[in-house]
Amino acid sequence: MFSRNIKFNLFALIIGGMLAFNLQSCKKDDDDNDHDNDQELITSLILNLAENGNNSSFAWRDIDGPGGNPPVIDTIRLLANTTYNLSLEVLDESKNPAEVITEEINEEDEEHLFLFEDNAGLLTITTVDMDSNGDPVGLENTLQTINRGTGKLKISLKHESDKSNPENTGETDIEVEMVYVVE
Amino acid sequence: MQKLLGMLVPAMLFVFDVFGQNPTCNLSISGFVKEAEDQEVVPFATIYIKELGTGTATDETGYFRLDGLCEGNYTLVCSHVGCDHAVEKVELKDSTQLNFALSHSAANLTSIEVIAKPVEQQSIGSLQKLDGLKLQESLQGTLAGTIANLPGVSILSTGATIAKPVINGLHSDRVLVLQNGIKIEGNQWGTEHAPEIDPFSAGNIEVEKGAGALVYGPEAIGGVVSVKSPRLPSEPGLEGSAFLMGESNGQVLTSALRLSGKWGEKFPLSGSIQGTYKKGGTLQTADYFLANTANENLNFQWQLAYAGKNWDVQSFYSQYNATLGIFSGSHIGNLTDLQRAINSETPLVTGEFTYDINRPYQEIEHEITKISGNYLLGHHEKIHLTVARQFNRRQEFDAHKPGGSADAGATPETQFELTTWNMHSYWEHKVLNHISGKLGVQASHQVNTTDRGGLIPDYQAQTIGLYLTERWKNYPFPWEFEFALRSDWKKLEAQFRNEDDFSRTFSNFSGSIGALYRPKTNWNVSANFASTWRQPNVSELFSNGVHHGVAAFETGDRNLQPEVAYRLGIDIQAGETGKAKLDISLYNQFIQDFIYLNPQQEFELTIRGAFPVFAYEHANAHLYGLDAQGSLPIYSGLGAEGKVSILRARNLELNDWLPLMPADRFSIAATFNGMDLKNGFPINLKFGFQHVFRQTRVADNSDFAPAPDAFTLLFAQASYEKEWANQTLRLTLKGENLANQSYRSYLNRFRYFADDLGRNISLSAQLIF
Repeated sequence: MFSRNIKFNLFALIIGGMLAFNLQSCKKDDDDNDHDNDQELITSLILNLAENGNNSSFAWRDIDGPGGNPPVIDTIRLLANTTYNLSLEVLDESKNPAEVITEEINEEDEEHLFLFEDNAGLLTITTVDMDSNGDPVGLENTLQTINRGTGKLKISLKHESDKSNPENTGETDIEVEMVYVVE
Repeated sequence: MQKLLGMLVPAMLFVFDVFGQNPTCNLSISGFVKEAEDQEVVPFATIYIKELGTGTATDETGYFRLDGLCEGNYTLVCSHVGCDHAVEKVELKDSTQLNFALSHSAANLTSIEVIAKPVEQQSIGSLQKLDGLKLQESLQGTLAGTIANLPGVSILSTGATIAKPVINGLHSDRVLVLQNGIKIEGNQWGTEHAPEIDPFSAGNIEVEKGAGALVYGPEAIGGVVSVKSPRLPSEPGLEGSAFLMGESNGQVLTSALRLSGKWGEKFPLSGSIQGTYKKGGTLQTADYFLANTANENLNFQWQLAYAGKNWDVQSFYSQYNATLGIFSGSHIGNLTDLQRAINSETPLVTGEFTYDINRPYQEIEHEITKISGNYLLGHHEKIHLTVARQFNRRQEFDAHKPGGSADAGATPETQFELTTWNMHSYWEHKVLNHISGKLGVQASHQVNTTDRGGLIPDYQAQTIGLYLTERWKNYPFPWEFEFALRSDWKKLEAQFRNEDDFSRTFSNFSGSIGALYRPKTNWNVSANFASTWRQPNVSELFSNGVHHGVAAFETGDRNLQPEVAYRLGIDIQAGETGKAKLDISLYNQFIQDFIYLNPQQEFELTIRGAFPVFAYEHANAHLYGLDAQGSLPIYSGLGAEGKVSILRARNLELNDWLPLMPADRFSIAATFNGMDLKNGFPINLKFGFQHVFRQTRVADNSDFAPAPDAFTLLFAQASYEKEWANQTLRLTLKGENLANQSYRSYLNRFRYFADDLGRNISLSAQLIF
């Protein structure tokens, strides 16, 4: 009986020792359940147009991000023979309050470039803002119209591209198409 | 490098010294195998000569005989069900009689052997094993790379640093990966999530094709990869091994050290400690560097085992830490960027050699803690219990935020933390005289928290499984029969941020029957039929978003049903020691409701542009094929060997091919095996090529780019193994893609962006003491 007890104690000691040693070295889920800090999202691109004190804005918006509800895309309405100031705003409106991503783009303007492509040739867009290297950025532009008509304007935001060859380098963060009408 | 050369030169001199001997080769070793306790004869125990790689089995009277042996030093290993491997070293000068006494006492059972048994005993089917020198010859930086030379195994890779094993066309959660008997739980659903195992810690690696290993769970429709640590010493004393490997491509250095020991017979405590460190720089294709493909690994593990008279207990701990750079040329924003990358001959981003790892990269940590024990009830009966805990932390760091730069701090964009508890208990038994088997129960509890990134939800999963497996064997009757039955219940509960919780349960039976016919020694014919099932994983159920890097919008389906597989496998192993050998494995598998990513005829419009939609869908599938390998000795140690793998995978619903299946391939090599010479020259040489055909069996419009062209890669290797006193030295010199061919593999998900790896020369040395 006595030796049986010793044996049992030894058994318990060995198992207990191993268990304690193993468990104390365990890593744990740190419960850093930081769901609010989800991957940053661009939900909205807003075109602010100003002409002689008349302001208008048009947006490409997908507030719930990719998937879910489809994006809401405004038609850009313009007047013929007019020169506008076109400034762009980039937002993450999935958050409340909305996060202004334009600020980040401004801070790292050497890395960013907006490109405009007009399939009907009715718009003349000239970028006026420059980064510290003297290269265009595209947050501030002038937009000039002459004839009436409709077309599609493609706006893309390139990240880390070579600004002398932006079409073929860098990563595309935004690529949207908006229908416009020149009346 | 100089250190390695310093070891190589004296080793080479030693080789030539051995070459000078002139022995006779008509000797034999014979004897009986008996039980140590009661001197009962042991029929059908295996006697194996380690140096020659050949062996025999005892007959019904426990007698064995090995003929045609040359003079020399041999290590004989005798093994039998439920016994430890008894090892006997012989210096053979005359024909010798040698008797083995096998002990069934628990004192000789080490943790590894106990774990090894289920896979070794429970399946009739295609089992391939890598150990010893063969393992060292195969070692690569990843587990998948290490086993990729086995017929039927291929690699699904994400660039040069992330690799998953594919068995007969199936991968991810259809392939179970075990470390010392514990199923690795680390978000296997992701094709860019490689198994968290250090191949350099392995004593042996086994690959079992098909779902034969029901003991580990029903979901192994493709097969099981089992990695085991080296056995703990059975004799008191200290032993160990030191390993060093250098690779030219990426200037990778890998070092590993292992120490193990046993206290003594009075206090039978044994243990081991092992560590691996690997550092690799930027990898190279034939023509350019793959920017940001440096990687680093730091892994360690330890074991402790104590054996009483009729019980034993083991403890195992391991930690895997990897930082894997991801090729920066793969970072794209949208489909336009992807098309641009595909159309460009060379990557749009190239790099220079560095050991620095920058964004994007993955940081993975995996920890296993295990306690297990056995209680012997008699000669052939025991109760086993394992309790294990695993923790997996996966952090993925993107190149930068959309519209912004990368965080200054080390904040990952994606982070999962997965904690899994497993319990496995079984009763190993012998009923009647010729039937032995196992009755077991398994349970697991798993908690995932998605700390960052929203690819999959938080979830909890519970499983309970019950199995019974029995084998009938009546030596020397040449037939063996086996069956296994299993019942599983699984529950999955997912939590979402803006929606209600979601919960589903799955339950089903699985089973297998098998027969083995052994007409004579070294001839095996086996057939196995299994029906198993796999529940849809979290990614297949809940995915809903853009899969960056492949510019695809992937959607899951919460109502997916489990897939059910029916597989018939036939394996034939034929050959005589020292003569031609052939190993053929044929399989025919029908999978009902096979879950796969089906390209849709629609685009999802996002602010980054339109992405093609891929949906997880069901289709009945038919996979069938053949794996074969053979070797043919030609003259005096010279020989040839070949391998071939063929797979056809049909989507029966669409009457088309299934995507992402390995292309047909074969390899042919000339070999020189010094051990086959009369004087046992301890060096092996191999030179050959592998040809991988173009995957032409691809459904139309199922991919962004056509499958890459066929390619042929040259390889060569030389290995040397010498044992003296109680030490073994193994040296391996290996060259892969010797002609520095530029090629792309269909199963590399980064084939859109860059070529596969160029030439790599590696030199490894292992000293076992």
